[in-house]
Amino acid sequence: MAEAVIAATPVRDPRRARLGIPPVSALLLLLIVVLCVCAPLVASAGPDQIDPTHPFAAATGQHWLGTDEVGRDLLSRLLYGGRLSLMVCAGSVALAFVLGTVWGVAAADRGGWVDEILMRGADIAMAIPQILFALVCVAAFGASLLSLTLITGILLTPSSARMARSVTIQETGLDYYSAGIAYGAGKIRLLSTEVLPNIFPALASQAAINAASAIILEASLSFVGLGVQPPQTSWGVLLQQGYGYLYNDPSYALAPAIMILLTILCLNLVANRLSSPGARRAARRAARGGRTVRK
Amino acid sequence: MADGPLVSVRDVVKSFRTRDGGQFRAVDGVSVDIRRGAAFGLVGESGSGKSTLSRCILRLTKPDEGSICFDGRDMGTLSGGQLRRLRSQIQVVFQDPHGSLNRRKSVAEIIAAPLAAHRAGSRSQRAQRVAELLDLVQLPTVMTSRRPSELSGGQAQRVAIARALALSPDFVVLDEAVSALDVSIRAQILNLLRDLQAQLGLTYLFISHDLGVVRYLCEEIGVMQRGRLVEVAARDELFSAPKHPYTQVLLDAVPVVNPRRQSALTTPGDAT
Amino acid sequence: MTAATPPAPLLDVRDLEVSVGKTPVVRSVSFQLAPGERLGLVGESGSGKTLTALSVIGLHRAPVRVSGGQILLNGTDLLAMRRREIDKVRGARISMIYQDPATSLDPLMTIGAQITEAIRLHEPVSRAQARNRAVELLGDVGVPSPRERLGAYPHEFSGGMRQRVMIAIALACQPEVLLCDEPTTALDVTTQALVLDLLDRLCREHGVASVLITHDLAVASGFCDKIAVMYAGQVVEQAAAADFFERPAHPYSAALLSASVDLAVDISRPLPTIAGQPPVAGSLSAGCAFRSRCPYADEACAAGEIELHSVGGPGIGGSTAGVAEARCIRPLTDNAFRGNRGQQAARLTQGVIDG
Repeated sequence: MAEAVIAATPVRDPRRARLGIPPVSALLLLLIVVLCVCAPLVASAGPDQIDPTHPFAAATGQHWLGTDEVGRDLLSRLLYGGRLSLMVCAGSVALAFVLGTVWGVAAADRGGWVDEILMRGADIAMAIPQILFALVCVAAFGASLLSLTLITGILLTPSSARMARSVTIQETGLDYYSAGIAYGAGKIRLLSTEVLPNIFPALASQAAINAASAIILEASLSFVGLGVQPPQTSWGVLLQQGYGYLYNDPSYALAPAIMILLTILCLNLVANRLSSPGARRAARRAARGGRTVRK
Repeated sequence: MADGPLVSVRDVVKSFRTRDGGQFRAVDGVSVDIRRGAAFGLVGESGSGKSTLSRCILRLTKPDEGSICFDGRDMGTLSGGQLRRLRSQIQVVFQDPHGSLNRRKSVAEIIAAPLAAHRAGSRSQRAQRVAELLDLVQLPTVMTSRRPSELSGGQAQRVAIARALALSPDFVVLDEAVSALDVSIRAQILNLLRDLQAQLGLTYLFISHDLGVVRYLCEEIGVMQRGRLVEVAARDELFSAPKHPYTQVLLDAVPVVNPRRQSALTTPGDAT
Repeated sequence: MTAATPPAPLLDVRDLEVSVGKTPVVRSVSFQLAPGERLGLVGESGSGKTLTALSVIGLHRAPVRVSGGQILLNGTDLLAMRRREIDKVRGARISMIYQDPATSLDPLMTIGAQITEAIRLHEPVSRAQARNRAVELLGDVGVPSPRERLGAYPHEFSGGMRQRVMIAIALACQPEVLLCDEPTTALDVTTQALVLDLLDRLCREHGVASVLITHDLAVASGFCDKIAVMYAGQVVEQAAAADFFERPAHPYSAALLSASVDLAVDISRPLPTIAGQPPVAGSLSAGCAFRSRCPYADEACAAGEIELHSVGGPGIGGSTAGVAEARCIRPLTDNAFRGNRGQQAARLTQGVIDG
């Protein structure tokens, strides 16, 4: 009898079901990252290799995007610049992910006045104008790649903390968490082995949104001269340099702008995608029409 | 200590702050003893405080006043380590069969989690214990690799029961454990709970809003209303001669499946 | 349809088919509702009872779609209507109340605004008239000091009061048919009794026909004239309530009845249960859907689709509310079996192993 029943229930492996064809946004993002990381292999010339005889060259077979005011290959500069932009982005997002998760989970777990203080702290941090904060930090610590990453990471931490707190509260409100406490599992154990894997999709989604913000922040800071310092280059630096020649050579500024735009768009789409399994599951549960019997 | 009550609740008060800044006494001075090996039923409507009381007994929340003794030991005076050890003897099964199982873990991982938390046994011993437990709750061993989303409500609730039994507890709190289940599945789980109690000598605290179910499973029943325990009585007494008017109101409100069967029962000899 | 059926059916659902994507979930469901009549649509979760109701009122959403059948309200097929015409019927002639009053009311609108909106949507009355109607309705459903409560928001009401407000909204335009989907499942027993009494009184006073969808046979028992039991998307038995509870014909109905735990259940023995789990939609083969769990089943039950056919004679107590119908080739009411019903009961109880 029991066997017959088992046979009647369809066997699905949820892990396998979730992996479908990766969406276009993720593929495009991957392409951008790979191109930038492998810039030395892809680019036809070094980013600093000048050729004073060919300034503002139009696109040719040799220089796909043409050259800049001192004849450097724009495509190479775009890819090498992307390396720095993405590096800052990855570093700051990782920092925000770790700090934010600890901050948010601690607030959710402790509750009460600890939660109150931590979350008001996050509110205050989010209210500080980002550029102003960066300005002060750069003035104090100098402009370097490391400080840029740290500043961006710190600026993104509160939003990660908020997300971590809200999903942790949601998750620890479920009965499996209470049951865990009741059978004597330690809180740290429960949070790290049971709760964290469940809130990971939400945290990853927030990280993708943060990554988009990091790209914008880096670009804006570099644009106003507080971020990556020439001769090093990033998308923000390129944008700033190209801006001066907007009328002579629009593609100079347009190229980094398009890269920034594409990357942000893809990151947001990926974030959407990442956050939806939970939402989809909730929708499915609602559609199944489970009775809510009050306690 | 073998003859004292297993759980002894004395003057427990638990209040919550309401949104407008007032105090709401969810549990208001409750004292009750639960005998070893008994199934004690706690009935009441939503907001009567029965679930809050059970959370106090499970030490998921601390009572504001009063004491709760388990096996003669006051839980409020125990150190963190002592409390964790004591927790192995007190287990819980909740209402929502899917919410009480971590959706990412397999059935085997879920059932073995209490063993792992108490570092009980080796890996293979745990696997063997999981197999025993599955057998105990009448689930086939092929279930071990399933995830909660692949289980029906009844199967998920059996897994939750297996997990509760993993550490061979003395006392199991069943918080609306059958309320979310379909009629036919509910009957299966009720029978299972009854069998397990007889087989393992368990003590139950069975919380429910459903008087019919409580009548079936519990020999002693407490009725809660607005945070207070208004009546505690043996099953037969409570259903035939309720003392508190609120108990009577509750009893009158329970719908009957077949009015004829009901009348046949109350007036013996009148066979329809 | 026989010409002898005295009152013409108000609502006539014929061979309704509903599917989710390509999976059929409601299969050939038919029932009729005379004016003022009350049908209990009973079944366990996943039996298709809620989807049936949602399709009747046209509130199903993709991927759920009605793939066949007719839903006749006073002879007009709702399924053939255009969207705008359906909007006129919904709320005005058929309305629905749901299980969870907390989510079916708009939390940002006052109760008064929600009721007057419901009225003004379908009737050309002034704001003041609608307000007066709303006060009257709230008083009718037993909300104390209705005029003052018009300005209150849903969260200021208790669960039972919210359900009363839902009922007021559902009855605002004096519908002919009221669909109640588990209206009391989320409520306390005492509140449940009050809400059921209220529904009972209002349906009688306004002459509203109703379909009560529930998993709780006891709730249906006290409220309905007629019971339809659903299993795996089909109506497996349909009978007058009095007959049904006394003498269920389909083994599933009988098992469901004996597995229901109320205050009269025999506590000295294990509860009779139904072995196994309900089948998953889409995994059904031909024949009786219940046969894998049925203690009486044999090869004949798998032979082919079993139609809903009349079983036994006219109802007991001279009831003519309808002849019992069941989708079973060996109904328990069959004369051949009637001799040893005690034995049957024993079989039902015994032949069950937990799934």
